[in-house]
Amino acid sequence: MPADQLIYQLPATLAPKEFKSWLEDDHVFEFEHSKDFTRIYLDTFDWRLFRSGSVLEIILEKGHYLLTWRKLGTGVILDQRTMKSLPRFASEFIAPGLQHRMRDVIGRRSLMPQISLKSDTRKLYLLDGEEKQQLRLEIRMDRVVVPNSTGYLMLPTFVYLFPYRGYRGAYQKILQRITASGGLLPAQKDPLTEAMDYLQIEPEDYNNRPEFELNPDREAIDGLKEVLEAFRVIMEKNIQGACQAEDPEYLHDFLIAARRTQCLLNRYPDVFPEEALKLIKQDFEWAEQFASPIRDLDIYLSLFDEFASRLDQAHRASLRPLYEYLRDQKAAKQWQMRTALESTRYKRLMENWKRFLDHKQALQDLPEAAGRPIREVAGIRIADLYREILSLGRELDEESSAEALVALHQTSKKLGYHLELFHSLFPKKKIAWLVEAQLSLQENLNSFHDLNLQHDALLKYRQKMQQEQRTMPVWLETMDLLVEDRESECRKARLEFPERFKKLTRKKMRKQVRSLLEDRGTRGRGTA
Amino acid sequence: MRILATYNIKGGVGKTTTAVNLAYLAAQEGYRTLLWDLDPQGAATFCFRVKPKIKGGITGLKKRSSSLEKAVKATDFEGLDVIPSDFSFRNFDQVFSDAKKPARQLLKLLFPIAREYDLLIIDSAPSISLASENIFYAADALLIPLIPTTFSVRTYYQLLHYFRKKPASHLKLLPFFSMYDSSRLLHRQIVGSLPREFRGMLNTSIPYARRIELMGVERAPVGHFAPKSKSDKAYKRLWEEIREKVLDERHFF
Ligand SMILES: Nc1ncnc2c1ncn2[C@@H]1O[C@H](COP(=O)(O)OP(=O)(O)OP(=O)(O)O)[C@@H](O)[C@H]1O
Ligand SMILES: [Mg+2]
Repeated sequence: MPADQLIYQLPATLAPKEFKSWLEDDHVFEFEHSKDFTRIYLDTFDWRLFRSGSVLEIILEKGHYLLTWRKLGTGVILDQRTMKSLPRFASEFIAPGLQHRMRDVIGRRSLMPQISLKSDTRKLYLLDGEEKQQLRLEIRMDRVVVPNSTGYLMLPTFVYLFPYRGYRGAYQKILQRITASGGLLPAQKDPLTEAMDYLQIEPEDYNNRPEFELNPDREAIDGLKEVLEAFRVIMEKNIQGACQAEDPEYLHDFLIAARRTQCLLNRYPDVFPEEALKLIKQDFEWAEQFASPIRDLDIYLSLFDEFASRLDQAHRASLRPLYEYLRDQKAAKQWQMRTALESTRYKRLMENWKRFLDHKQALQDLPEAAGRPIREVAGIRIADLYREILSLGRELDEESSAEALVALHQTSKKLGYHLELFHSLFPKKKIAWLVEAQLSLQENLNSFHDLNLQHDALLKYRQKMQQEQRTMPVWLETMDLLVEDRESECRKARLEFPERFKKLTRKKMRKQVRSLLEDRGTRGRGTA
Repeated sequence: MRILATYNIKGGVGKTTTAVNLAYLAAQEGYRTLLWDLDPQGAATFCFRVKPKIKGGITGLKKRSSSLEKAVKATDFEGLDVIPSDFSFRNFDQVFSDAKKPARQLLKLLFPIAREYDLLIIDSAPSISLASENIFYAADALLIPLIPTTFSVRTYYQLLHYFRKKPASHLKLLPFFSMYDSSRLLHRQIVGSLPREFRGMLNTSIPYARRIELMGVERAPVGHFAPKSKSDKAYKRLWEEIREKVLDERHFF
């Protein structure tokens, strides 16, 4: 059976009224006409639903929201149901099944109204002898609302079919009638695409981790600037959302960009002019110190459902004060960050930064490595970071302090950034091993880092509550359970560490890394 | 998928009325809901104007695991589907008694469609039989409507007794008063002085109301043809209580 096509276009020569009465010649319908109501297309700011080939529309009807999630183009329903409130996050879809499916597409991003239509819709319900509905057909005459104006743009008239489960026969009958005798053709463009074209909206290919295909022989300063510029744009796109704090993904993406930027700025003193960047570097550091703790708290807060699932009812209740404490902390930190990122100091940083990236300096005014091939210059960083990791890692044993592991975590992250940004400069054969081994180590260190932070925060909170004499036995028990749980998870991560680290220390790996440096590219310029 | 079933040994106590209204309310709130009319009389099916027929009947269901999926019918309400009743369901015990684990057959039938729904509500026929044993095995909770009379209370004791002998620890019993007529002294007395065995009784009582009786004429849930009426509000309260007990517990928020 071919895939269903459920959206059709009404020829401009056929008025909806005529079409309706023509349908009613042969079948009994219940009829409903709604005028001037609003239909809203929801999506994330980066159009994740649209780009996954689906459309989420919502209307307010009889005090409930009717949500329709359908395939782009064909109109095949992925989910349709009523809801009491307008969901913003995947987690706000109360049914677990839908929640998971939505999360697979939009992650933790928030949904927002992207396009509004004023609709005039004629609904026809096909009835059987018992007056039971067997199918719904909608004739939609929608006008696109032009933002910030009083204007509208009229869309073509579309006919939508909504087959009912268990009534396939009725659907085939009506389909036959409208296509074979009625001559209706499938919509050439999805109504949403049509509306987007009217408004000249083009969902950009936003990616918080852009892929770079740099020419290995390019001058290092140019290559690095290209990468940094991409991250500058990501920061710019996310700053507002990060300040508003509705959707943690903005902050997440902002930090991804900020951290990579800082790493590159600090690691290339032989490429970047020291003096010109001094202030910029300081300001980046200053800005990041506001943002990072909030991200840690976000991760922490997102774990509460998991905590709850491991506790019984009595203990679960005592999670709430902790949750609220962390949430309040986040709110306070959020406020500080907002003040910082909306300050003139931050604005000045971004202006200076953009100016620096745009400005083309003569090579002779730049440090010595600025003009060397990016592959060579980045290769040296990768080898250096790799060696740093080896020496830090070899000093670790079961007794080592958490700080020592965290220091390694930081260095490993920097190697990770370099591999992510520059792997394409090197032959895949040579670099793939390292990428894989680094990822595996990083995963281990990340969980250690998060768990360790959570553990410390729990202890601090426990102490604080005890000092304030606000503890109850069941509450203390819950905290101890959680502390123990974090401790044992930390231990697990530690036990796992030697295995993961070993992959990096293999002789073969060391040789591969050395060979990254030997490969000087085609121009054969410069000395290491 | 969570499974709720209305159940009482006694007939005519409001099982079907409850199943129909709760299924409607659950769907309105965004739970994809399936109502399975297991009573061969098909009163719930009738309420949704669906034809009381399953192709192949109960033996067809037993033979082909895909039959149940094909039996599902959408109702006129978004997010709410039904499996209609079929007269052959009166033979449930006969058909399934020779199966390997006779009490698990219902749950087995449900596997292919369980992922599509958040909630299944089963409307059962009044009896104790293999069919009801299957329901006890499959369900997370039993909704037990009780008319506030001494007689009703007695049958509830019988049921408690039955479960004491046959522990099904996962199964929550959620009894509540149905057809409560506050103009009757007896009803008031029984509802007012709950004996100790009635702990665990839900707080909401469904009043005796003409509107509810009209469901058979309107062939729709009360909330649809009499929104915001006293009856609609009572079912909403009942649903909220049940939702909290059965659907919300796993979520922290
Ligand atoms: N709260 C109520 N107020 C008035 N009438 C009611 C109420 N609840 C149910 N009824 C009516 O009582 C009758 C029996 O109700 P219902 O069919 O829900 O009971 P049941 O337990 O499912 O019966 P059966 O055992 O036959 O399946 C129906 O005619 C119904 O309309
Ligand atoms: Mg009944």
